[in-house]
Amino acid sequence: MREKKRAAFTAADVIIVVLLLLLGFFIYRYTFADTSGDGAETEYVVRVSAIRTELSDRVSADDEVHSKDGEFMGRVVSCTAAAAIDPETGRQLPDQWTDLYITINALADGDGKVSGVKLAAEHELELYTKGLYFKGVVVSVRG
Amino acid sequence: MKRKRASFGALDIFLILLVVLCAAGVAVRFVLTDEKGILASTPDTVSAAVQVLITNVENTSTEFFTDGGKLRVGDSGGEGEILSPVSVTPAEYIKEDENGDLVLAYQADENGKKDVRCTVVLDGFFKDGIFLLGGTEPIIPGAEIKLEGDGVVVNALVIDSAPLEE
Repeated sequence: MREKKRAAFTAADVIIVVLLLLLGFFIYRYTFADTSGDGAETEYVVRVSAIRTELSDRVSADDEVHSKDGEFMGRVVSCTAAAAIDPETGRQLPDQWTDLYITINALADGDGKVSGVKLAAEHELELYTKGLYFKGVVVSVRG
Repeated sequence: MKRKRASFGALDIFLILLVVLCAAGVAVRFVLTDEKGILASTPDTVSAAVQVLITNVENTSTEFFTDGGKLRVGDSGGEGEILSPVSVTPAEYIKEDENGDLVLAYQADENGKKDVRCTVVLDGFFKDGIFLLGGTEPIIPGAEIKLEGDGVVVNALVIDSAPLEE
């Protein structure tokens, strides 16, 4: 009786299996997987000093926030206007200027960074939404 | 001794096809669909009316901001044309009143500094509601842009940007 040929498991088979596993992983990772919960939820407040009052209503809740390099920095939770204070003298400026306090919700990584930017009080940020480009200072971080 | 001839089986073909497909996938993703790739989806170029405020310019420089005047924007190479009306007003400044409060005041001298408000027509496209000059530079209210004309260079604050209504 003829001896049954034993199935050989070659290096090519190993490569195929590894490639198929990788393919499956990437298809899952970039199509079906819900990655929205990755990272820790963080809320930070940016104070924009002495912006012209005619520009103070351009930020809305749920607007996407990006850094000047286009990196996603979260979404606007709320935007509050207050009388503008001269940061150097502490005196109130005329009504033509307003301070904005913009609260932004974002997902931070394990180091507390959002899109590579460490969020901490006194950190200066240059950000934009679809309605306003602004420079501000982080005044608080929660989360 | 007879040497065994290497066989080329279906598995080998499958392996080669897989590698070629992976390479093609990378090429499509990173080469063909980038900004200059042939599969890139670039929206049609549109004209936008960008309203700007230029503060504290010399009285003599206001002559550069007239209807039909040409301006270039910063380093982007974008060129625009000024639309009427052009508003030239005494420059704003902040002064202290008799009570010690800071109040808004205007240059009283007729030949003093001026604030100029005008609309510049620029070409680019809108993406997610943001006007991108030349497809790259975001022109958003609150942004500062450098405007250059023949004989004048100023920094301007963008007040508004909207598609130009023909």
